[in-house]
Amino acid sequence: MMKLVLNEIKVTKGILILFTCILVLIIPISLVFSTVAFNCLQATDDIVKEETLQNELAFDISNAGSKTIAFLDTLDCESVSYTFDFKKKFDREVSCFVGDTAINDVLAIVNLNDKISKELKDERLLKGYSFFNFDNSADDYISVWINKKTSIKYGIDIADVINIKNDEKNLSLQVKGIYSDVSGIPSMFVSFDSANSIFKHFGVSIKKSVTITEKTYTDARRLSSELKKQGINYSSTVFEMVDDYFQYYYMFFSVLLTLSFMIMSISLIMFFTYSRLIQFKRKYYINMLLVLGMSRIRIAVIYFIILEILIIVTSIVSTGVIGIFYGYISEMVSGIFELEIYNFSFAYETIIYTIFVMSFFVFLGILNLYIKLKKINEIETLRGN
Amino acid sequence: MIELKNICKSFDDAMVIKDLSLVIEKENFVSIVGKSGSGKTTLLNMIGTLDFPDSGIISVDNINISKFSQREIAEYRNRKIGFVFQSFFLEPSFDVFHNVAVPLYISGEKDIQKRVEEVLKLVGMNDYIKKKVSKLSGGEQQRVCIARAIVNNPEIILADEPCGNLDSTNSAIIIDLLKTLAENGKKVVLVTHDMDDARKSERIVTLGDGMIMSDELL
Ligand SMILES: Nc1ncnc2c1ncn2[C@@H]1O[C@H](COP(=O)(O)OP(=O)(O)O)[C@@H](O)[C@H]1O
Ligand SMILES: [Mg+2]
Repeated sequence: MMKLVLNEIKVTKGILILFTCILVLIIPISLVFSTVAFNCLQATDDIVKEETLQNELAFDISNAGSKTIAFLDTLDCESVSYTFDFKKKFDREVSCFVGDTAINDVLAIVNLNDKISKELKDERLLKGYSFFNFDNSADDYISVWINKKTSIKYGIDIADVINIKNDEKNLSLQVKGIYSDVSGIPSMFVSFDSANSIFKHFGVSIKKSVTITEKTYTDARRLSSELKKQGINYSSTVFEMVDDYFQYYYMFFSVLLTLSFMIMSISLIMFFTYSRLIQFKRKYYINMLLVLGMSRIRIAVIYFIILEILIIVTSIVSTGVIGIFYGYISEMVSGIFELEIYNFSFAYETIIYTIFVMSFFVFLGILNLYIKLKKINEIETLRGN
Repeated sequence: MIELKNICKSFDDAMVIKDLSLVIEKENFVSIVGKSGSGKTTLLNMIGTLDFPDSGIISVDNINISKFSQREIAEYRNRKIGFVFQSFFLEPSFDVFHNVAVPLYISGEKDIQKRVEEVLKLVGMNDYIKKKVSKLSGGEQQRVCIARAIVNNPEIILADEPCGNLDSTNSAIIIDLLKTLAENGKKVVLVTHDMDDARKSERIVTLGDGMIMSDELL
């Protein structure tokens, strides 16, 4: 069968080259459209998702006097999120947390640790928080920041060492700074890198992901894009208000996907033409196959495989090329539509979307061929010779 | 065994085969002769499932082939029958090897190379294996056709005026080839209007007006 496909590719290579040229024009354009669309979809995708804590993994946190003050709940061990809480065992009233509702704080601390960066100056990030008692000296320990409430409640001060324990292991963190916040809930923060080290120490594999909570959709997107720049994936975005931007994205997504679909549907004409060309140019050969005992469906499958190979190869090549130039393309698209798309990355799902849609069109074209094959009369052709 | 029972066939109101019955059992090499338009090709096509009778039963090895499904037809044409046509019916863009190999590709045979070489040797064409068929002479092309017809080891060879486009020397080669195949156990049904060719077979069935005029054992 594959041999017949290869033979047929060889014999019809003229038509195939012509169609490849057309596909090379169609596919990249629709790929760009669908990629932007998928970006928009992703932007609208992460709507409020209540994370449930599963397979809780508890760590004891004790201070220098080894008094347990809290333990750490994490998400599912497979994909531990940075949204974790330090909680005191059996006593929820004094639970501390890291991140969760205040990922901004984490960011701020990370940025502070990396000296004063641009983001720190962003008022939004620092609103309601002030940093004091800043100690940058000792680097022997993984550093932790605690809020004032924690400091007072547990009598922990700058340069104190906090121990995190579970049944097997033990890790010391040093308080590097104390901050005040508006919440009044005892909380602690570690930088993402530190959190990484902590999880590593306890042998928990983690995926870098955070839950983002913001007032509006746009804010959440902006934050998630900042995180992404730092190489941190967010697991979900929580926002309270669907603002204009959100709807804009949604609309843009559907428009672009429709556009991309329409551009691809040009190929439908092409696949029908292909079917006609095959009926015309390969009539004699097809008839020969029929006489030699090949079923019509298998003959149709030969041409289906050929077109599938054609679209898969051109899609993959186009994707590669677009992937390389995607930075420029996305800037151009954003510029043209005056749209600020956060996390505007190349979505590899689009290649699957493209191949899927194209395959559907190929199927229609080949179905047409198959129906026409049914009408072939072997004897007519034989007599014609 | 090929058995035709009360076969009728008409095209556009013209009755081409009229209540024809014929049994081919013992003889391995049978010729069908008759005037042009007497229905020889139609008869052969019906045995090969390229066409179907309006009424009557055709059975091959006691299986009614008129009742075949599409899949069974394909299988039957591929495995049981080897076709040889006057117009060769080869794919001009393929070389000899690929033309002969097509039935094997269809049946999904494994050792294609070996089998193709085998049959090409049998018809004396193994030196042309890489040649485009369009570059071959008529006699050579017809030998390639015979190689293709027997490559899947069918029991029956249906040859419809295989020498119609050939000179006498090449015709003799082709008829001798068919005779050899018959001697080796294949059932060969040869349609011809050349009585000299027909006399090389074991039995001559003469058609006239869609009926059997004479049936002669040699
Ligand atoms: N597909 C067809 N459509 C219409 N008439 C046909 C068809 N096939 C054969 N015929 C007619 O049937 C008659 C017998 O044809 P055929 O079997 O080819 O005869 P032969 O092979 O003996 O010359 C002819 O008159 C021919 O015109
Ligand atoms: Mg004829």
